Amino acid sequence: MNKTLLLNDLDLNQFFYAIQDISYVIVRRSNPEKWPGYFQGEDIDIFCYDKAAVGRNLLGIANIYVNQGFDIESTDHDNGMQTHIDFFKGGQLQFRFDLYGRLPRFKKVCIKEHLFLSVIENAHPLEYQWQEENYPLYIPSSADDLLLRYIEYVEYFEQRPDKIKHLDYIMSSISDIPGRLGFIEKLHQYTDLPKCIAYIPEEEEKAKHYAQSLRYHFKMIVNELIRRIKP
Amino acid sequence: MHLYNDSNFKPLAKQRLDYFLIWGHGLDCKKEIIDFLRAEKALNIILLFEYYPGNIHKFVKKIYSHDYAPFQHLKDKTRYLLKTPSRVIIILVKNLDVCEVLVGNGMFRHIECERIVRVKNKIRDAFNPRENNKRTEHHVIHASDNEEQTHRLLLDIGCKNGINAFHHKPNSLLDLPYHVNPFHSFRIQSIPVSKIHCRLLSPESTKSDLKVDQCRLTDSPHCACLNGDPTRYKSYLDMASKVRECDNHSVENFLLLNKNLKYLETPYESSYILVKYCTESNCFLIFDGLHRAVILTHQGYKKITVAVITQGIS
Repeated sequence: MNKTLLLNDLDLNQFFYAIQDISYVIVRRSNPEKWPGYFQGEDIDIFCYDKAAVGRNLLGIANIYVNQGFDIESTDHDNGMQTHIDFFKGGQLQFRFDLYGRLPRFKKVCIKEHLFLSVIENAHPLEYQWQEENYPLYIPSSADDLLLRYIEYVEYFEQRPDKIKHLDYIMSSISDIPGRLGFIEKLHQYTDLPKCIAYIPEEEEKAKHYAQSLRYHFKMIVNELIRRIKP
Repeated sequence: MHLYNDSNFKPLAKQRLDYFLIWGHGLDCKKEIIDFLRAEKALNIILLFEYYPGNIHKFVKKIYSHDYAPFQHLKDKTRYLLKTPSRVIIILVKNLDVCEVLVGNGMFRHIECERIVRVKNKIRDAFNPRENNKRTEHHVIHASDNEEQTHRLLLDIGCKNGINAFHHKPNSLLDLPYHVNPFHSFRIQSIPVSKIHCRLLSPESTKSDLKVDQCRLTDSPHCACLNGDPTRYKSYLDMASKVRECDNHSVENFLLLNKNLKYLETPYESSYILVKYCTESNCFLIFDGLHRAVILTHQGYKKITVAVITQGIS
Protein backbone atom coordinates (compact mmCIF):
# COMPACT_ATOMS: atom_id res chain seq x y z
CA MET A 1 0.00 0.00 0.00
CA ASN A 2 1.33 3.41 -0.95
CA LYS A 3 0.38 5.65 2.00
CA THR A 4 1.31 8.82 0.21
CA LEU A 5 -1.17 8.52 -2.61
CA LEU A 6 -4.76 9.01 -1.45
CA LEU A 7 -7.22 8.14 -4.21
CA ASN A 8 -10.93 8.40 -4.80
CA ASP A 9 -11.30 7.15 -8.38
CA LEU A 10 -13.49 4.32 -7.12
CA ASP A 11 -16.61 5.40 -5.30
CA LEU A 12 -16.54 2.93 -2.40
CA ASN A 13 -19.89 4.19 -1.13
CA GLN A 14 -21.49 3.07 -4.41
CA PHE A 15 -20.11 -0.48 -3.99
CA PHE A 16 -21.37 -0.85 -0.45
CA TYR A 17 -24.67 0.82 -1.22
CA ALA A 18 -25.16 -1.97 -3.80
CA ILE A 19 -24.67 -4.78 -1.26
CA GLN A 20 -26.56 -3.29 1.67
CA ASP A 21 -29.25 -6.02 1.52
CA ILE A 22 -26.75 -8.89 1.65
CA SER A 23 -25.30 -10.15 4.94
CA TYR A 24 -21.67 -9.06 5.15
CA VAL A 25 -19.22 -7.37 7.46
CA ILE A 26 -16.07 -5.42 6.63
CA VAL A 27 -13.55 -7.08 8.89
CA ARG A 28 -10.75 -4.65 8.28
CA ARG A 29 -10.56 -1.19 6.79
CA SER A 30 -7.00 0.06 6.74
CA ASN A 31 -7.89 3.73 6.89
CA PRO A 32 -11.46 4.27 8.09
CA GLU A 33 -10.76 7.95 8.73
CA LYS A 34 -10.11 8.50 4.99
CA TRP A 35 -13.33 6.74 3.85
CA PRO A 36 -14.43 6.76 1.02
CA GLY A 37 -10.89 7.74 -0.01
CA TYR A 38 -8.27 5.00 -0.05
CA PHE A 39 -4.53 4.67 -0.50
CA GLN A 40 -3.13 3.10 -3.65
CA GLY A 41 -3.00 -0.70 -3.25
CA GLU A 42 -5.26 -0.74 -0.18
CA ASP A 43 -7.47 -3.74 0.49
CA ILE A 44 -10.63 -4.36 2.39
CA ASP A 45 -11.52 -7.76 3.94
CA ILE A 46 -15.16 -8.79 3.79
CA PHE A 47 -16.80 -11.77 5.52
CA CYS A 48 -20.05 -12.86 3.88
CA TYR A 49 -22.25 -15.96 3.70
CA ASP A 50 -23.01 -15.59 -0.01
CA LYS A 51 -19.70 -14.64 -1.58
CA ALA A 52 -21.08 -15.09 -5.09
CA ALA A 53 -23.90 -12.60 -4.47
CA VAL A 54 -21.53 -10.00 -2.99
CA GLY A 55 -19.04 -10.58 -5.81
CA ARG A 56 -21.66 -10.32 -8.53
CA ASN A 57 -22.93 -7.02 -7.11
CA LEU A 58 -19.42 -5.61 -6.90
CA LEU A 59 -18.70 -6.72 -10.47
CA GLY A 60 -21.96 -5.12 -11.55
CA ILE A 61 -20.64 -1.74 -10.35
CA ALA A 62 -17.19 -2.58 -11.72
CA ASN A 63 -18.57 -2.49 -15.29
CA ILE A 64 -18.79 1.30 -15.00
CA TYR A 65 -15.07 1.47 -14.23
CA VAL A 66 -14.06 -0.66 -17.21
CA ASN A 67 -15.14 2.26 -19.38
CA GLN A 68 -12.98 4.56 -17.25
CA GLY A 69 -9.82 2.62 -18.04
CA PHE A 70 -9.82 0.16 -15.14
CA ASP A 71 -9.01 -3.52 -15.57
CA ILE A 72 -10.74 -5.71 -13.05
CA GLU A 73 -9.38 -9.10 -12.09
CA SER A 74 -11.01 -11.78 -9.98
CA THR A 75 -8.99 -14.66 -8.53
CA ASP A 76 -10.23 -17.52 -6.37
CA HIS A 77 -8.16 -18.94 -3.53
CA ASP A 78 -8.68 -21.63 -0.91
CA ASN A 79 -10.89 -23.76 -3.21
CA GLY A 80 -13.08 -20.81 -4.07
CA MET A 81 -13.78 -19.85 -0.45
CA GLN A 82 -11.78 -16.64 -0.82
CA THR A 83 -11.85 -14.30 -3.83
CA HIS A 84 -9.82 -11.21 -4.64
CA ILE A 85 -11.48 -8.62 -6.83
CA ASP A 86 -8.67 -6.31 -7.90
CA PHE A 87 -8.95 -2.95 -9.64
CA PHE A 88 -5.95 -2.06 -11.78
CA LYS A 89 -5.25 1.19 -13.56
CA GLY A 90 -2.25 1.58 -15.83
CA GLY A 91 -1.00 -1.81 -14.64
CA GLN A 92 -0.97 -0.65 -10.98
CA LEU A 93 -3.18 -2.22 -8.32
CA GLN A 94 -5.47 0.52 -7.07
CA PHE A 95 -7.79 -1.35 -4.72
CA ARG A 96 -8.67 -4.89 -3.65
CA PHE A 97 -11.89 -6.37 -2.28
CA ASP A 98 -10.94 -9.52 -0.38
CA LEU A 99 -14.04 -11.68 -0.02
CA TYR A 100 -14.20 -14.57 2.43
CA GLY A 101 -16.91 -17.24 2.37
CA ARG A 102 -15.52 -18.77 5.56
CA LEU A 103 -12.87 -18.00 8.17
CA PRO A 104 -9.34 -17.74 6.79
CA ARG A 105 -6.97 -20.48 7.96
CA PHE A 106 -4.70 -19.53 10.85
CA LYS A 107 -1.63 -21.49 11.90
CA LYS A 108 -0.84 -20.21 15.34
CA VAL A 109 -4.26 -20.16 16.85
CA CYS A 110 -7.27 -22.43 16.34
CA ILE A 111 -10.45 -20.49 15.67
CA LYS A 112 -13.88 -22.05 15.93
CA GLU A 113 -15.77 -21.80 12.61
CA HIS A 114 -18.71 -20.35 14.51
CA LEU A 115 -16.81 -17.09 14.96
CA PHE A 116 -17.45 -16.32 11.27
CA LEU A 117 -21.19 -16.44 11.83
CA SER A 118 -20.94 -14.53 15.10
CA VAL A 119 -19.00 -11.66 13.48
CA ILE A 120 -21.54 -11.32 10.65
CA GLU A 121 -24.59 -11.67 12.88
CA ASN A 122 -23.32 -9.10 15.41
CA ALA A 123 -22.18 -6.62 12.76
CA HIS A 124 -22.65 -2.99 13.65
CA PRO A 125 -24.10 -0.64 10.99
CA LEU A 126 -22.46 2.74 10.38
CA GLU A 127 -24.52 5.26 8.50
CA TYR A 128 -23.05 6.53 5.24
CA GLN A 129 -24.47 8.21 2.18
CA TRP A 130 -24.40 7.54 -1.53
CA GLN A 131 -26.08 10.03 -3.86
CA GLU A 132 -27.81 11.62 -0.86
CA GLU A 133 -29.30 8.30 0.23
CA ASN A 134 -28.38 6.80 3.57
CA TYR A 135 -27.15 3.23 3.67
CA PRO A 136 -25.63 1.01 6.39
CA LEU A 137 -21.97 0.01 6.18
CA TYR A 138 -21.42 -3.06 8.33
CA ILE A 139 -18.37 -3.32 10.57
CA PRO A 140 -17.69 -5.77 13.44
CA SER A 141 -19.10 -5.09 16.90
CA SER A 142 -16.49 -3.64 19.25
CA ALA A 143 -16.04 -7.01 21.02
CA ASP A 144 -15.51 -8.83 17.72
CA ASP A 145 -13.20 -6.08 16.49
CA LEU A 146 -10.92 -6.62 19.51
CA LEU A 147 -11.02 -10.37 19.07
CA LEU A 148 -10.13 -10.13 15.35
CA ARG A 149 -7.29 -7.72 16.15
CA TYR A 150 -5.96 -10.10 18.77
CA ILE A 151 -6.04 -13.03 16.32
CA GLU A 152 -4.21 -10.95 13.73
CA TYR A 153 -1.61 -9.97 16.33
CA VAL A 154 -0.99 -13.60 17.42
CA GLU A 155 -0.90 -14.91 13.85
CA TYR A 156 1.40 -12.35 12.27
CA PHE A 157 3.47 -10.80 15.07
CA GLU A 158 6.55 -12.96 14.31
CA GLN A 159 6.73 -11.80 10.68
CA ARG A 160 5.28 -8.35 11.24
CA PRO A 161 6.36 -6.84 14.58
CA ASP A 162 4.29 -3.75 13.75
CA LYS A 163 1.22 -5.88 14.54
CA ILE A 164 1.92 -5.01 18.18
CA LYS A 165 -0.28 -2.01 17.41
CA HIS A 166 -3.29 -4.32 17.73
CA LEU A 167 -2.28 -5.37 21.23
CA ASP A 168 -1.70 -1.74 22.22
CA TYR A 169 -5.14 -0.88 20.85
CA ILE A 170 -6.75 -3.73 22.79
CA MET A 171 -5.02 -2.68 26.02
CA SER A 172 -6.04 0.94 25.62
CA SER A 173 -9.61 0.05 24.65
CA ILE A 174 -10.28 -2.13 27.67
CA SER A 175 -8.44 -0.65 30.59
CA ASP A 176 -10.86 -1.82 33.29
CA ILE A 177 -10.91 -5.32 34.82
CA PRO A 178 -14.53 -6.26 33.90
CA GLY A 179 -13.86 -5.26 30.27
CA ARG A 180 -10.74 -7.41 30.16
CA LEU A 181 -12.58 -10.34 31.70
CA GLY A 182 -15.31 -10.02 29.06
CA PHE A 183 -12.71 -10.00 26.31
CA ILE A 184 -10.95 -13.05 27.74
CA GLU A 185 -14.27 -14.84 28.02
CA LYS A 186 -15.03 -14.27 24.32
CA LEU A 187 -11.48 -15.17 23.39
CA HIS A 188 -11.83 -18.42 25.34
CA GLN A 189 -15.15 -19.16 23.68
CA TYR A 190 -13.92 -18.92 20.11
CA THR A 191 -10.25 -19.82 20.18
CA ASP A 192 -8.04 -22.72 21.15
CA LEU A 193 -4.33 -23.40 21.20
CA PRO A 194 -2.92 -25.64 18.45
CA LYS A 195 -2.46 -29.25 19.54
CA CYS A 196 0.78 -29.94 21.41
CA ILE A 197 3.36 -31.72 19.24
CA ALA A 198 4.90 -33.75 22.08
CA TYR A 199 2.59 -36.73 22.45
CA ILE A 200 2.93 -40.47 22.90
CA PRO A 201 1.84 -42.37 19.82
CA GLU A 202 -1.07 -44.71 20.32
CA GLU A 203 0.97 -47.84 19.46
CA GLU A 204 3.60 -46.97 22.04
CA GLU A 205 0.88 -46.50 24.64
CA LYS A 206 -0.65 -49.89 23.80
CA ALA A 207 2.72 -51.64 23.96
CA LYS A 208 3.34 -50.16 27.41
CA HIS A 209 -0.05 -51.38 28.58
CA TYR A 210 0.61 -54.95 27.35
CA ALA A 211 4.04 -54.99 28.94
CA GLN A 212 2.57 -53.88 32.28
CA SER A 213 -0.17 -56.48 32.07
CA LEU A 214 2.34 -59.22 31.19
CA ARG A 215 4.56 -58.21 34.09
CA TYR A 216 1.58 -58.27 36.45
CA HIS A 217 0.47 -61.76 35.36
CA PHE A 218 4.03 -63.06 35.44
CA LYS A 219 4.38 -61.81 39.00
CA MET A 220 1.09 -63.46 39.99
CA ILE A 221 2.17 -66.79 38.52
CA VAL A 222 5.56 -66.61 40.20
CA ASN A 223 3.97 -65.72 43.54
CA GLU A 224 1.50 -68.61 43.21
CA LEU A 225 4.33 -71.00 42.36
CA ILE A 226 6.36 -69.81 45.37
CA ARG A 227 3.30 -70.21 47.58
CA ARG A 228 2.79 -73.78 46.35
CA ILE A 229 6.46 -74.67 46.47
CA LYS A 230 6.87 -73.38 50.02
CA PRO A 231 6.24 -76.11 52.54
CA MET B 1 -38.58 -47.82 -1.74
CA HIS B 2 -39.90 -45.52 0.97
CA LEU B 3 -37.70 -42.49 0.62
CA TYR B 4 -39.70 -39.70 2.10
CA ASN B 5 -41.97 -39.39 5.07
CA ASP B 6 -43.40 -36.32 6.73
CA SER B 7 -40.70 -36.16 9.36
CA ASN B 8 -37.78 -35.91 6.93
CA PHE B 9 -39.58 -33.89 4.28
CA LYS B 10 -37.87 -30.54 3.82
CA PRO B 11 -39.45 -28.27 1.22
CA LEU B 12 -36.14 -26.45 0.84
CA ALA B 13 -35.53 -26.62 -2.86
CA LYS B 14 -36.03 -23.30 -4.57
CA GLN B 15 -34.54 -24.61 -7.79
CA ARG B 16 -34.01 -28.13 -9.00
CA LEU B 17 -33.37 -30.16 -12.12
CA ASP B 18 -36.31 -31.89 -13.73
CA TYR B 19 -36.73 -33.74 -16.97
CA PHE B 20 -39.43 -34.26 -19.55
CA LEU B 21 -39.34 -37.23 -21.87
CA ILE B 22 -41.26 -37.26 -25.15
CA TRP B 23 -42.09 -40.84 -26.10
CA GLY B 24 -41.75 -42.10 -29.68
CA HIS B 25 -45.47 -41.70 -30.49
CA GLY B 26 -45.28 -38.03 -29.50
CA LEU B 27 -42.39 -37.09 -31.76
CA ASP B 28 -44.70 -35.86 -34.53
CA CYS B 29 -45.59 -32.92 -32.30
CA LYS B 30 -42.15 -32.50 -30.71
CA LYS B 31 -41.80 -28.91 -31.94
CA GLU B 32 -45.11 -27.89 -30.39
CA ILE B 33 -44.28 -29.65 -27.12
CA ILE B 34 -40.85 -28.05 -26.93
CA ASP B 35 -42.35 -24.63 -27.71
CA PHE B 36 -44.89 -25.24 -24.96
CA LEU B 37 -42.06 -25.92 -22.50
CA ARG B 38 -40.09 -22.92 -23.75
CA ALA B 39 -43.07 -20.70 -23.02
CA GLU B 40 -42.98 -21.74 -19.34
CA LYS B 41 -41.00 -18.95 -17.71
CA ALA B 42 -40.18 -20.95 -14.57
CA LEU B 43 -38.62 -23.74 -16.62
CA ASN B 44 -35.29 -23.09 -18.22
CA ILE B 45 -34.32 -25.72 -20.79
CA ILE B 46 -30.67 -26.52 -20.30
CA LEU B 47 -30.33 -29.64 -22.41
CA LEU B 48 -32.38 -31.20 -25.16
CA PHE B 49 -31.40 -34.32 -27.05
CA GLU B 50 -32.65 -37.37 -28.87
CA TYR B 51 -32.00 -40.71 -27.22
CA TYR B 52 -32.22 -44.08 -28.90
CA PRO B 53 -32.78 -46.79 -26.30
CA GLY B 54 -31.61 -50.09 -27.76
CA ASN B 55 -34.57 -51.93 -26.28
CA ILE B 56 -37.75 -49.98 -25.58
CA HIS B 57 -39.04 -52.68 -23.18
CA LYS B 58 -35.99 -52.37 -20.96
CA PHE B 59 -36.02 -48.58 -21.20
CA VAL B 60 -39.69 -48.28 -20.17
CA LYS B 61 -39.03 -50.63 -17.28
CA LYS B 62 -36.03 -48.56 -16.19
CA ILE B 63 -37.92 -45.28 -16.36
CA TYR B 64 -40.85 -46.58 -14.35
CA SER B 65 -38.71 -48.45 -11.85
CA HIS B 66 -38.16 -45.06 -10.21
CA ASP B 67 -41.87 -44.29 -10.11
CA TYR B 68 -43.98 -44.49 -6.97
CA ALA B 69 -47.08 -46.30 -8.21
CA PRO B 70 -47.86 -50.00 -7.56
CA PHE B 71 -46.01 -52.23 -10.04
CA GLN B 72 -49.12 -53.86 -11.58
CA HIS B 73 -50.69 -50.47 -12.17
CA LEU B 74 -47.51 -49.26 -13.91
CA LYS B 75 -47.34 -52.41 -16.03
CA ASP B 76 -50.88 -51.86 -17.33
CA LYS B 77 -50.33 -48.15 -17.69
CA THR B 78 -47.19 -48.49 -19.77
CA ARG B 79 -48.15 -51.42 -22.02
CA TYR B 80 -48.91 -49.06 -24.92
CA LEU B 81 -45.33 -47.69 -24.75
CA LEU B 82 -43.88 -51.04 -25.78
CA LYS B 83 -45.28 -50.50 -29.26
CA THR B 84 -43.82 -47.00 -29.68
CA PRO B 85 -40.65 -46.31 -31.71
CA SER B 86 -37.36 -46.80 -29.88
CA ARG B 87 -36.55 -43.11 -30.06
CA VAL B 88 -37.28 -40.49 -27.41
CA ILE B 89 -36.45 -36.86 -26.71
CA ILE B 90 -35.11 -35.97 -23.28
CA ILE B 91 -35.44 -32.38 -22.15
CA LEU B 92 -33.55 -31.39 -19.03
CA VAL B 93 -34.91 -28.25 -17.38
CA LYS B 94 -33.87 -26.06 -14.51
CA ASN B 95 -37.04 -25.64 -12.47
CA LEU B 96 -36.70 -22.07 -11.19
CA ASP B 97 -39.81 -21.98 -9.05
CA VAL B 98 -40.30 -25.30 -7.34
CA CYS B 99 -43.66 -26.01 -5.68
CA GLU B 100 -42.90 -29.25 -3.88
CA VAL B 101 -45.63 -31.16 -2.09
CA LEU B 102 -45.90 -34.58 -0.49
CA VAL B 103 -48.45 -36.83 -2.18
CA GLY B 104 -49.51 -40.47 -2.04
CA ASN B 105 -49.94 -42.79 0.91
CA GLY B 106 -47.86 -45.30 2.77
CA MET B 107 -44.91 -46.66 0.84
CA PHE B 108 -45.92 -44.68 -2.25
CA ARG B 109 -45.72 -41.34 -0.48
CA HIS B 110 -43.34 -39.08 -2.38
CA ILE B 111 -42.40 -35.52 -3.27
CA GLU B 112 -43.54 -33.97 -6.50
CA CYS B 113 -43.60 -30.47 -7.93
CA GLU B 114 -47.07 -29.12 -8.62
CA ARG B 115 -45.70 -26.99 -11.45
CA ILE B 116 -44.22 -29.97 -13.30
CA VAL B 117 -47.42 -31.96 -12.84
CA ARG B 118 -49.49 -29.05 -14.17
CA VAL B 119 -47.27 -28.59 -17.25
CA LYS B 120 -47.17 -32.34 -17.91
CA ASN B 121 -50.95 -32.62 -17.75
CA LYS B 122 -51.46 -29.62 -20.03
CA ILE B 123 -49.19 -31.23 -22.62
CA ARG B 124 -51.00 -34.53 -22.27
CA ASP B 125 -54.36 -32.79 -22.70
CA ALA B 126 -53.14 -31.13 -25.87
CA PHE B 127 -51.05 -33.86 -27.50
CA ASN B 128 -52.07 -37.31 -26.23
CA PRO B 129 -53.73 -39.38 -29.00
CA ARG B 130 -57.49 -38.93 -29.03
CA GLU B 131 -60.34 -41.42 -29.37
CA ASN B 132 -63.96 -40.38 -29.81
CA ASN B 133 -62.82 -36.82 -29.35
CA LYS B 134 -61.49 -37.68 -25.90
CA ARG B 135 -57.93 -37.76 -24.60
CA THR B 136 -56.54 -41.30 -24.25
CA GLU B 137 -54.17 -42.25 -21.47
CA HIS B 138 -51.42 -43.02 -23.98
CA HIS B 139 -49.19 -40.27 -22.63
CA VAL B 140 -46.86 -38.56 -25.07
CA ILE B 141 -44.80 -37.14 -22.24
CA HIS B 142 -43.35 -38.34 -18.98
CA ALA B 143 -41.83 -36.04 -16.34
CA SER B 144 -39.87 -36.39 -13.14
CA ASP B 145 -41.55 -36.14 -9.75
CA ASN B 146 -38.40 -35.04 -8.01
CA GLU B 147 -34.70 -34.47 -8.50
CA GLU B 148 -33.82 -38.00 -7.49
CA GLN B 149 -35.67 -39.36 -10.52
CA THR B 150 -33.76 -36.91 -12.75
CA HIS B 151 -30.53 -38.17 -11.22
CA ARG B 152 -31.53 -41.80 -11.84
CA LEU B 153 -32.50 -41.14 -15.45
CA LEU B 154 -29.20 -39.42 -16.18
CA LEU B 155 -27.29 -42.33 -14.65
CA ASP B 156 -29.39 -44.82 -16.63
CA ILE B 157 -28.63 -43.16 -19.94
CA GLY B 158 -24.92 -43.05 -19.22
CA CYS B 159 -24.33 -39.61 -17.70
CA LYS B 160 -21.71 -40.65 -15.15
CA ASN B 161 -22.27 -38.08 -12.43
CA GLY B 162 -26.02 -37.70 -12.84
CA ILE B 163 -27.32 -34.30 -11.78
CA ASN B 164 -23.98 -33.43 -10.19
CA ALA B 165 -22.62 -32.80 -13.67
CA PHE B 166 -25.15 -29.99 -14.02
CA HIS B 167 -24.77 -28.54 -10.53
CA HIS B 168 -21.08 -27.95 -11.09
CA LYS B 169 -20.06 -24.28 -10.95
CA PRO B 170 -17.24 -23.30 -13.30
CA ASN B 171 -16.37 -20.21 -11.24
CA SER B 172 -17.26 -19.08 -7.73
CA LEU B 173 -18.57 -15.67 -8.87
CA LEU B 174 -19.86 -15.98 -12.41
CA ASP B 175 -23.10 -17.60 -13.46
CA LEU B 176 -22.11 -19.91 -16.29
CA PRO B 177 -23.53 -23.00 -17.94
CA TYR B 178 -22.47 -26.38 -16.62
CA HIS B 179 -20.42 -27.31 -19.68
CA VAL B 180 -17.74 -24.63 -19.15
CA ASN B 181 -14.63 -26.09 -17.54
CA PRO B 182 -13.68 -24.69 -14.11
CA PHE B 183 -11.36 -21.68 -13.90
CA HIS B 184 -10.34 -19.59 -10.93
CA SER B 185 -9.13 -16.35 -12.39
CA PHE B 186 -10.56 -13.92 -14.90
CA ARG B 187 -10.13 -10.33 -15.97
CA ILE B 188 -12.89 -7.97 -17.06
CA GLN B 189 -11.79 -6.06 -20.10
CA SER B 190 -13.23 -4.09 -22.94
CA ILE B 191 -11.92 -5.62 -26.18
CA PRO B 192 -12.48 -4.84 -29.87
CA VAL B 193 -15.12 -6.97 -31.57
CA SER B 194 -12.70 -7.66 -34.42
CA LYS B 195 -10.44 -9.52 -31.97
CA ILE B 196 -13.23 -11.87 -30.84
CA HIS B 197 -13.63 -15.11 -32.74
CA CYS B 198 -16.17 -17.86 -32.30
CA ARG B 199 -15.70 -21.59 -31.97
CA LEU B 200 -18.14 -23.58 -34.09
CA LEU B 201 -18.64 -27.29 -34.43
CA SER B 202 -17.06 -28.51 -37.62
CA PRO B 203 -19.34 -30.36 -40.09
CA GLU B 204 -16.78 -33.19 -39.96
CA SER B 205 -17.56 -33.77 -36.28
CA THR B 206 -18.93 -37.07 -35.10
CA LYS B 207 -20.34 -38.03 -31.72
CA SER B 208 -17.05 -39.56 -30.69
CA ASP B 209 -14.83 -36.94 -32.30
CA LEU B 210 -15.94 -33.32 -31.92
CA LYS B 211 -13.99 -30.93 -34.12
CA VAL B 212 -14.06 -27.19 -33.69
CA ASP B 213 -13.54 -24.48 -36.31
CA GLN B 214 -12.74 -20.85 -35.58
CA CYS B 215 -14.20 -17.93 -37.49
CA ARG B 216 -14.95 -14.22 -37.16
CA LEU B 217 -18.26 -13.30 -35.55
CA THR B 218 -19.38 -11.66 -38.78
CA ASP B 219 -18.74 -14.89 -40.73
CA SER B 220 -20.79 -17.10 -38.41
CA PRO B 221 -24.18 -18.62 -39.33
CA HIS B 222 -25.50 -16.76 -36.29
CA CYS B 223 -24.65 -13.43 -37.88
CA ALA B 224 -26.21 -14.54 -41.17
CA CYS B 225 -29.39 -15.32 -39.25
CA LEU B 226 -29.56 -11.77 -37.86
CA ASN B 227 -28.92 -10.47 -41.37
CA GLY B 228 -32.12 -12.18 -42.52
CA ASP B 229 -30.86 -15.58 -43.68
CA PRO B 230 -31.69 -18.17 -40.99
CA THR B 231 -31.04 -21.26 -43.18
CA ARG B 232 -27.33 -21.57 -42.35
CA TYR B 233 -28.01 -21.13 -38.64
CA LYS B 234 -30.82 -23.68 -38.76
CA SER B 235 -28.73 -26.27 -40.55
CA TYR B 236 -25.87 -25.58 -38.09
CA LEU B 237 -28.21 -26.30 -35.15
CA ASP B 238 -29.46 -29.47 -36.87
CA MET B 239 -25.92 -30.63 -37.46
CA ALA B 240 -24.92 -29.79 -33.87
CA SER B 241 -27.91 -31.61 -32.38
CA LYS B 242 -26.86 -34.78 -34.18
CA VAL B 243 -23.36 -34.88 -32.75
CA ARG B 244 -23.86 -33.53 -29.24
CA GLU B 245 -26.51 -32.62 -26.69
CA CYS B 246 -27.81 -29.15 -27.47
CA ASP B 247 -28.69 -26.17 -25.36
CA ASN B 248 -32.03 -24.53 -25.82
CA HIS B 249 -31.29 -22.87 -29.18
CA SER B 250 -33.66 -22.17 -32.05
CA VAL B 251 -34.07 -19.43 -34.65
CA GLU B 252 -37.09 -18.06 -32.77
CA ASN B 253 -35.20 -17.98 -29.46
CA PHE B 254 -32.24 -16.24 -31.06
CA LEU B 255 -34.40 -13.58 -32.70
CA LEU B 256 -36.22 -13.05 -29.42
CA LEU B 257 -32.89 -12.62 -27.63
CA ASN B 258 -31.85 -10.14 -30.30
CA LYS B 259 -34.92 -8.09 -29.51
CA ASN B 260 -34.63 -8.23 -25.74
CA LEU B 261 -30.91 -8.42 -24.99
CA LYS B 262 -29.83 -6.15 -22.12
CA TYR B 263 -26.15 -7.01 -21.89
CA LEU B 264 -24.75 -6.41 -18.39
CA GLU B 265 -27.85 -4.52 -17.37
CA THR B 266 -29.85 -5.35 -14.23
CA PRO B 267 -30.31 -8.22 -13.36
CA TYR B 268 -27.58 -9.52 -15.68
CA GLU B 269 -24.75 -7.27 -14.40
CA SER B 270 -22.27 -10.10 -14.09
CA SER B 271 -23.40 -12.26 -17.03
CA TYR B 272 -20.27 -11.60 -19.05
CA ILE B 273 -19.44 -13.09 -22.39
CA LEU B 274 -16.60 -15.46 -21.52
CA VAL B 275 -13.51 -15.56 -23.71
CA LYS B 276 -9.95 -16.83 -23.59
CA TYR B 277 -6.98 -15.37 -25.38
CA CYS B 278 -5.52 -17.69 -28.00
CA THR B 279 -1.87 -16.92 -28.68
CA GLU B 280 -1.74 -18.99 -31.90
CA SER B 281 -4.44 -17.03 -33.67
CA ASN B 282 -3.91 -13.81 -31.67
CA CYS B 283 -7.60 -13.47 -30.88
CA PHE B 284 -10.08 -14.07 -28.07
CA LEU B 285 -12.12 -17.27 -28.44
CA ILE B 286 -15.64 -17.38 -27.03
CA PHE B 287 -16.35 -20.04 -24.39
CA ASP B 288 -19.81 -18.78 -23.49
CA GLY B 289 -22.03 -16.05 -24.93
CA LEU B 290 -21.62 -16.49 -28.68
CA HIS B 291 -25.21 -15.45 -29.37
CA ARG B 292 -24.87 -12.32 -27.25
CA ALA B 293 -21.56 -11.41 -28.89
CA VAL B 294 -23.07 -11.77 -32.36
CA ILE B 295 -26.06 -9.63 -31.38
CA LEU B 296 -23.81 -6.87 -29.98
CA THR B 297 -21.71 -6.99 -33.17
CA HIS B 298 -24.87 -6.81 -35.25
CA GLN B 299 -25.99 -3.80 -33.20
CA GLY B 300 -22.80 -2.03 -34.21
CA TYR B 301 -20.68 -2.22 -31.04
CA LYS B 302 -16.97 -1.88 -31.80
CA LYS B 303 -15.82 -2.92 -28.32
CA ILE B 304 -17.42 -5.30 -25.82
CA THR B 305 -16.83 -5.74 -22.09
CA VAL B 306 -16.05 -9.41 -21.53
CA ALA B 307 -14.56 -11.72 -18.91
CA VAL B 308 -11.23 -13.06 -20.09
CA ILE B 309 -10.17 -16.34 -18.51
CA THR B 310 -6.64 -15.90 -17.22
CA GLN B 311 -6.05 -19.16 -15.35
CA GLY B 312 -7.40 -22.62 -15.00
CA ILE B 313 -9.00 -23.77 -18.25
CA SER B 314 -7.56 -25.75 -21.10
